[in-house]
Amino acid sequence: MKITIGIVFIVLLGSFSTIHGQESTATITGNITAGGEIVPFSSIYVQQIAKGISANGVGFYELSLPAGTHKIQVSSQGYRSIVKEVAVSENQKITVNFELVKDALGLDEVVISATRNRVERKNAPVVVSTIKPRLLNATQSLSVADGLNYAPGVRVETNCQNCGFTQVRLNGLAGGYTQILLNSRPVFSSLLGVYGLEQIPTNSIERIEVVRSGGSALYGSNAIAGTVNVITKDPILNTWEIGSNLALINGEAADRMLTFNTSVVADDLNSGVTLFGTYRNREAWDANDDGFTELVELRNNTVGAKAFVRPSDRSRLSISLNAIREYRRGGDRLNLSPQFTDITEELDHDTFIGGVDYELNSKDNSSQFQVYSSASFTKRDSYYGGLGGGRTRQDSILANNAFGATRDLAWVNGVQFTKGFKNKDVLTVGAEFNHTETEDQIPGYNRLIDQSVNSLGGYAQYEWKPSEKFTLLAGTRIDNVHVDGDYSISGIDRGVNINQTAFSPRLTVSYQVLEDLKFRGGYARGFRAPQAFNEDLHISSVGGEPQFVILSNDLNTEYSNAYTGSFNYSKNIQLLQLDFLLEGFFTTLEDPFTLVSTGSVLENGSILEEVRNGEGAKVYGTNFEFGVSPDPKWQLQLGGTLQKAEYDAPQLLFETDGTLGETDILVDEFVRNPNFYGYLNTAWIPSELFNVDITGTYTGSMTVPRVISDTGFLQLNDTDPFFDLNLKLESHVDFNENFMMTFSLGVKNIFNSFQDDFDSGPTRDSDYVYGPGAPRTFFFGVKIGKLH
Amino acid sequence: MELLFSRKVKVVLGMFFLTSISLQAQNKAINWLTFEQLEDSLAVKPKKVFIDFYADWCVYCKKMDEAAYKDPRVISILNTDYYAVKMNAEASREIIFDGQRFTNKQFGKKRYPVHEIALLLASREGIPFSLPAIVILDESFTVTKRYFEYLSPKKMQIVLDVKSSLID
Repeated sequence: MKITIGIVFIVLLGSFSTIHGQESTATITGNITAGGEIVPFSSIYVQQIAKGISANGVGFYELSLPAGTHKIQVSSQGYRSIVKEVAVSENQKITVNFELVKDALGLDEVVISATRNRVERKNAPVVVSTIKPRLLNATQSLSVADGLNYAPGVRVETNCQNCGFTQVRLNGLAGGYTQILLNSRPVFSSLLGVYGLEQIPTNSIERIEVVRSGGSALYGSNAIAGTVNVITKDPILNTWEIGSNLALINGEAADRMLTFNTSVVADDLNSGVTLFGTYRNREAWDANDDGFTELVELRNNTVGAKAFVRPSDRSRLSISLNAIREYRRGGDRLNLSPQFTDITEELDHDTFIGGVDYELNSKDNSSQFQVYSSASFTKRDSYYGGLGGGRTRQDSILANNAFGATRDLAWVNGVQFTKGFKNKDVLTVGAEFNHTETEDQIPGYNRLIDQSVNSLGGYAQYEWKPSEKFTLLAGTRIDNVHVDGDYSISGIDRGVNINQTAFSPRLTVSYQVLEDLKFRGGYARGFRAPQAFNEDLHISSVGGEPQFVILSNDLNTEYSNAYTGSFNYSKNIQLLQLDFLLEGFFTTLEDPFTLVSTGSVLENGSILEEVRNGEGAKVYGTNFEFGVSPDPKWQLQLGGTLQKAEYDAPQLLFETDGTLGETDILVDEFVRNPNFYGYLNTAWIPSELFNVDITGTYTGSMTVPRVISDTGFLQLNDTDPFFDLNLKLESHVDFNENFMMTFSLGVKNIFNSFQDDFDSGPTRDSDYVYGPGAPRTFFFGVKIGKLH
Repeated sequence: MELLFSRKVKVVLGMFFLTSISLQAQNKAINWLTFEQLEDSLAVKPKKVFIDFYADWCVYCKKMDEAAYKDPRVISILNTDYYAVKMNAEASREIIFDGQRFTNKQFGKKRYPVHEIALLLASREGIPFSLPAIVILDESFTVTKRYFEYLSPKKMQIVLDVKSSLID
């Protein structure tokens, strides 16, 4: 097909071939308007004789032409060009007026087809916050855990000095309420949720998308707080890069990292692969010189690949493979075997994650069919224990029996069909089958978690766009969940055997109030069937003994109702970009799974925490994000959360055994959850050669429980706020198109805003940690390769 | 007239120089011209014109630099049958082409400022300006085809091939 376009451009030859006998005899005058208004300074062009003039400030023009037929073209920025054919005879004076039509959809913004950009973000019916490599780099984030803080409503906290267990809190809700996706697949099992955020290196990441308050039915029902989707790179160019970083934590403990990635993509873009690898070695660090770690020793090796092939123009098959080997150890005397130390938590993970994805598009590209299967498998050796400060025969026997073994499998299979209609409506239907199996055994403590969860879900979602301004996204999920779990610890046996079907409707509306202002609102119902989530798999240590978590019998399913409403104002005024998001959220939890300490009830004096159905709770507040960039050289982003997380009735946190002077501890609000937290992200990019990034997080005051007696009795402490500010300087040199180099150096947590009241010694409460993950840290990095 | 003549001579000389380079580099690289050079070349000898608009952020444009524009057959067709022009669609400089003055009116006003000449040749009705954009014109400088997608070396060969473009 020949593309015919309005602008038949210029007959160039005409301008050089001599036109004999050319006399300017006829005169054409006229006005140029658009919708009754004057269009000044349009350009008027006569194609055959290659003559061009400009109209004046009031849209008037005058042309002298030889007799004959001429094509006159009028064009002006922001209007469609028009061409009129005019015949004039000698000495004729005629008037030809032009009425231009505005190019409304025109040339405003460039669409970057390879990435999901702001334009697309603007149009999404739910608010999607994206964390891009630029930001991960600016914040010197080595793993996902470091970079996640830089989106509204997200806070990553460290929960253990002995093992460095981290969890992501979305809108204040603990890790188990957030679904972590790897390339949109829920292969992140509960077990991986314990340490996994620190196991995914950032060098393979294309972007992280955070959706608060599960607005879409496509996500699992347990995404009550939201989803964090880690998307790895899909290459187009052939590139390679090698990077190395050295960081000194508090100027003392070294954190060494080596990364590489390379990608090869065929010239026809029909096949390609990207390979990546990471080596990390972080020394343990002790904040208070008591001989016990505050930051654990870490050794992580990750290799992975993502390959794709397009068997035809309409289909795509992709495979992703990741292998993670991670060793971590914390406690004291790290050079000794764990059973000879007072406290050791030592974990050796061997994780394999693989997935296959097949996509088929219809001939007219209106519908798409997808089928996928992904799995993660982890084998883990663990040691949670030690002599605990004692040296008796009993202590020694216990320490020798604290070795454990874990096997964990998550397998996800699904099909999805998407159909786009002519009126831009979109229908999505799909089904998913998930199978997870976790077996965690520590024979020495008679501890067993043997859990299998099968869930079969079906979903349908319809995106209705009755007008340009209004979108309604309505959908629902039906999930059948079967949990079969046995949980025991030193003689206490619990079980869950539940088979239930739940219906989770989701509704989202978006309305373009003004050209630059968009309203979004939504409702989502979710549920969590009773099972051991990430926190429940973690073992900490208190009073020199391990502290365990067990599910109580007859747990009810937890339900949630989440409402959100937001206004997003984004405007471009010349080079200035403004973006303001104000979001309100209100989530109610019915029968939330809550950890209650029952004190030191186990024979050896260990503390047992029970998962019970707690009091109903309301979590509500606002997220805000303000972004301004006067020109591409300056960027400033400020975001945060102001919130409350309250129980409907006082919630039991510690149940006393009647010891004199100790009582039940009850709380009205969630612990470990500040009412105010946020982040700052600024960049100055004066040139390609050099840029400066200042980033930081603020963590408000919160209540953190601390165990203060052998019985497990708690004290509720109000913590100080923290301001963790990072500075990074980076220089980029292009030697040629195939070889570039980047140097960076900086300081993380410049003001050393860090917890100063760590518990100490072998009987410390290892869960008593809060605030920024690391003290002041100096770093230096080099990256070489064909970086872009 | 005298002026025109001297200009023509200059151009002929220029062309001679260019051809001698192109003969040497026939299968090594494409002889990319600027719009000013194109004007001079067309004045001497009309040929079909191939125009490629790119930008620094356009990954698919870079991939074409790596693939299609390194393909020996594409290089040979472009150097023989076409005048090939490559232009950064976001360039700020003024271009005088056929007596008209083209500038980048969006420069300093937009994040992705598109040059007038790119807007004129590669705009589409109802669709935002997008890259890569490839415009092919015939000997009389009339647009015959436009492509707004990645072209693999094979596809590029078909696009440039005289016979298939006649069928098209």
